[in-house]
Amino acid sequence: MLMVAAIVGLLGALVAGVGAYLPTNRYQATATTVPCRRVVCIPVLKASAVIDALKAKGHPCEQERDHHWKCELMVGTLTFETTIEEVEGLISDVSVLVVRPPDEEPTEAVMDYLLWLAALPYTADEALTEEINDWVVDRIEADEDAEAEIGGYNYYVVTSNPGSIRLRVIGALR
Amino acid sequence: MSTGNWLDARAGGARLSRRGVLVGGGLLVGGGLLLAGCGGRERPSIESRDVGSDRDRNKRRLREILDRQTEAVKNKDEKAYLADLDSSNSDLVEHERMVFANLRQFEFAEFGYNTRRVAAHGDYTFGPVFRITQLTADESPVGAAPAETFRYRLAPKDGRLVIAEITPASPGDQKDALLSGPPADEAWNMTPLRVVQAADNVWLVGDDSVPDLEKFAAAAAAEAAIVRRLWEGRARFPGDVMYLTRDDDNYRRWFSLGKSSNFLPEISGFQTSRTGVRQNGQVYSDQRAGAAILINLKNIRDYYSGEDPRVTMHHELAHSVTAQLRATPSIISDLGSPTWAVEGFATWATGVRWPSEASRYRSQLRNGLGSFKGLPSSKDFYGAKRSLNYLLGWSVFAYIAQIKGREAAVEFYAQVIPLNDTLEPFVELPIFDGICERTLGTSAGAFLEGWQRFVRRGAGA
Repeated sequence: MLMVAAIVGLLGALVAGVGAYLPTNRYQATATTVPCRRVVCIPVLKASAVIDALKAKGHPCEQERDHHWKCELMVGTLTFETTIEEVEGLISDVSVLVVRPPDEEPTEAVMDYLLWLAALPYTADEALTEEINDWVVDRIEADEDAEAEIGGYNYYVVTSNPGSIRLRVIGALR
Repeated sequence: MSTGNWLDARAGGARLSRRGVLVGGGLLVGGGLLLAGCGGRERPSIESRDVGSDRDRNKRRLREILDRQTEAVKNKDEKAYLADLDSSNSDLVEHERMVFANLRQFEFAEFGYNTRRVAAHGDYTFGPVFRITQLTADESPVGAAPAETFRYRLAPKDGRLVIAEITPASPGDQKDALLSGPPADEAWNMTPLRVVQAADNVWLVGDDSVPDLEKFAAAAAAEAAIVRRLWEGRARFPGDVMYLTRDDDNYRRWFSLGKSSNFLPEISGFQTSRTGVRQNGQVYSDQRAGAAILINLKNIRDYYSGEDPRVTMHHELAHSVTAQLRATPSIISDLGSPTWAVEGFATWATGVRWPSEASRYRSQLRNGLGSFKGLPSSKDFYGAKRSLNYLLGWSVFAYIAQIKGREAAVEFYAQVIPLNDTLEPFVELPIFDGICERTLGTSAGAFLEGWQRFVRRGAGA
């Protein structure tokens, strides 16, 4: 019960922050990638905003090395770990790892957490977000490792380690 | 569209129901097409790659093998444990047969393999694979179980994939991404062992140089009970495991002891700690996940008639029983708990057990005091002046026991060891002053003055 409350609260804060930055859902008005050094990054959304939002919701965040952050929350038998690579203040590589008891189906809170990440680059596009959600959910349900290129981003789903699901979104090389 | 609605939709809609997914997806794909029709930038699409790669399949196969080996250890089934090895590699099979024969004798609270951080090199090589080996002696609320790190190479053989190579991590492998983690240097990986239970959660482990392992059981049980009583109800690992040998090579190899900066081949015993891995695969070095004792009976023979290991056992038990509270090296300091406290307490505990030992320490200190300036630093504690350093450490606790009693000495130690030593004198830190006030009712300055007087006047009766 505590777990669900904590995670839903987290999502609320994050998505509210994201929404404020992306006022439109029209592609003609909003770029979906922005060049940052040798890769592409998620436009506008600052890495610090996501980290601050995670911290505000009780995730201890540590800067493990330059431009690399890790935020980890353990709630009961669940571990939620977000890692963020920052380039020029923006996000070039973000992943979440959810660790749970191996024999249990992912709960709604676990799926919410994963889908929050999946949606980060395309928050403004409700339809594409839903497609991405479906793709992620399908792969997790099928218990398959998967890769896809979506716009300028590479998406990875790793389910082959029992008890853990990793979803990673990396800005493609330019 | 409002952000609030978006959130509400996700919070209620994300679940693993295929029907829900298909219905939701179908509706929204329509919406997506509508958006695309508005013109402007081309809308991204999902380009799935070929995901059924050999690498993924091979990784799954490795996981299956590891799961079967886990069951085999639990069921003490050697045939099942060896079934997925490359049978043409007799060295590998024989080595794993030995490991299995060793492992089956231990009592595990948790045994298995953690592959959560596994990466691949090519399609067949995977690591780091953490073997979780939490003994009942190591159970603790730390939240990390002792682990060893390996890299596995699979190979096709007769139409199936088998384990072709298992590479253990050594302390020097930490920069190798596939071997990064606690070293795989437990004695059970190296030497045929025999395990004897000496008492409730007291275990003796010996190699073939100790055919008389049982002979030491009574001493191990008695010393463990005495040290545990001294430590009272403070945090500790529930059990104690002592490895005994008369073989200098094993003494050097086990737990990478010979690679340790303070290893000296003539020392009669060491206590080593086990590093843990958390359920999410993170190596957890903020606390110890277990402890073990190594004793070289051959070295003891040089000091104690009849190869009596009790003094060494007692000293090392004082380390291992209290290991859970000891600081681990951190970013701020890699020194760990002040060594004068760690070695001083173990030496003092041995002197409490045998007053004749305490008398010996006292007279050695009187003879070796020389130009005594204060407590030794952790940095070169085990250097040329180590004998004197041990004795100075002992004298701190002997002094406290004399002025405040034995319990105060134990409590003082329990409050010092969770802290890392620093390059500036630890005893000048404000936190040390606080410890002195709390446990001795005096300031650090007054305590140190009193202790120096005690040492200069001959360290007690």
